[in-house]
Amino acid sequence: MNTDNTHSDDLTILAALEALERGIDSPRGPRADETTETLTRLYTEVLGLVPFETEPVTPSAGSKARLMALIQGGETPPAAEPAAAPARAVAPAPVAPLRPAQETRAPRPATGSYAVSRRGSRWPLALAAALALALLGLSLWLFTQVGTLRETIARLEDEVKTERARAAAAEAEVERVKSDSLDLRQKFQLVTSHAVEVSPMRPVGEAPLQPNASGILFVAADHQHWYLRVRNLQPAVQGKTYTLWFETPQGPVRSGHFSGKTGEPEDLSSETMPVGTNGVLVTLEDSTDVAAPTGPPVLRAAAVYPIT
Amino acid sequence: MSPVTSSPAPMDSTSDVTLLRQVAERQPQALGALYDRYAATLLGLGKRILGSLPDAEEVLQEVFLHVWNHADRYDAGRSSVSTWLILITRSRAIDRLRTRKVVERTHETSVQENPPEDASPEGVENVFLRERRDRVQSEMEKLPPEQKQVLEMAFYEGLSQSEIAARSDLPLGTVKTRTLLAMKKLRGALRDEIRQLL
Repeated sequence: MNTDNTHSDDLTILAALEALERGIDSPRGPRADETTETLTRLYTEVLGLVPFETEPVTPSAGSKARLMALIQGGETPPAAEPAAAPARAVAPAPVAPLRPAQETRAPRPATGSYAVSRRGSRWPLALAAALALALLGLSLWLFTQVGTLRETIARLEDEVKTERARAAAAEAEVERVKSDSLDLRQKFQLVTSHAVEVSPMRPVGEAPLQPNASGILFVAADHQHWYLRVRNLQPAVQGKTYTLWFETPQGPVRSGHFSGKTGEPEDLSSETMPVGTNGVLVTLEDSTDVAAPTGPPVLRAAAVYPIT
Repeated sequence: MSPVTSSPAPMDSTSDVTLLRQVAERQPQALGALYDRYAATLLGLGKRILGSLPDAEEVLQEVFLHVWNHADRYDAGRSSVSTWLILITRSRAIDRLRTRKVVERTHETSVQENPPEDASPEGVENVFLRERRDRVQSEMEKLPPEQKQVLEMAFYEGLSQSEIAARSDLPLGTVKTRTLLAMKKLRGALRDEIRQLL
């Protein structure tokens, strides 16, 4: 063995040992001549044979099963890359060919690399996709819940408004009832007071406008409080209204209106009566603003009593 | 152990390459076949380096997961599949050794005394690997102890030539010379094995 070959061998061996530290998967350095490449390969295989001096150890029973379960379950976490070996201040030994370089070699057939798609580890992506889908579903659910809640809130707000309106109406009704009750109490008191004066009202004329109508006027002793009830008055035609007049020496004083409801008595009352009232008249007018009776008389107090 | 003089039955290296290609194509059964074929050897290597069977088992799992995920990194121009697996295992084990600062190491003799545990699915080691092992052990035993020692320190402990020299209290040149001699002797003695791996 010549010195050149020995030297080449030595360099190659040392380079192979250094490559051992970098790892078999480390990127290849620049290609050397074929001899060096071959020697490198030879000594790499020598290193690969050394461990065969060691007795084999059979793996535990579940070892293979765990491995297969990992890869077949899709849980193939990328094997942790080996921790960076402590940095070694080792410069790659220059493997200088001692013989002239051979003619350019034909490209090495691509037998070492596999043109297969690397799918790599998929479980982190799958997990991320599952989480993203879960978050999307949760967002959609929350969105629909928000929409539903808004509708509920709007409906409840409407109900509150309705109930408030009802409450207001009820309060108004209560007030009206109170008022009516008071009014009725007053009327009752008026009607049953000791010095009340009563004046029935009858249709006017030989051909009365409302022959079946009638009324009764109650006047309190103070000649201020009064209460009138009219019955069987036909509803006034559209645009017309029944008007109550208290007749005084100064002339008739308009004191109230009613439209007439079929079958229902009409009531009018007040706490004031014009001074000097000496008569009561109901006429059918074209409007409520007339200052004096212009329409036909409908009812008049049957007797003119000195009631003031 | 009597040296084996006859040429061994040729290793079906193509099948190793084929299996690895199938692994790259995500065929689990191919990985299982490689596991059955080499797990015992790799585990023995891991245990030799780490001195701990549980640690070696973990390294074994890491190695095969690495193979599953990175089968396409195998370069047939750089090494055989067997050597590729062995050197990956060595790297992983050495890294773990350095990281975990495993202090207690079992010696080779205690490793050999430890009986195999549960039987592998294959039951008996591949015959060809058994023959290879016999030849390697025979040739390694023939190495002068000092040469074998530096080689084993470099391989199993991940020591650089300088570190071996420091630990052995030897000149660096001496360490290098012994290493080179050991490697050359093995290259010559295991010519048949190497030829089958190429």
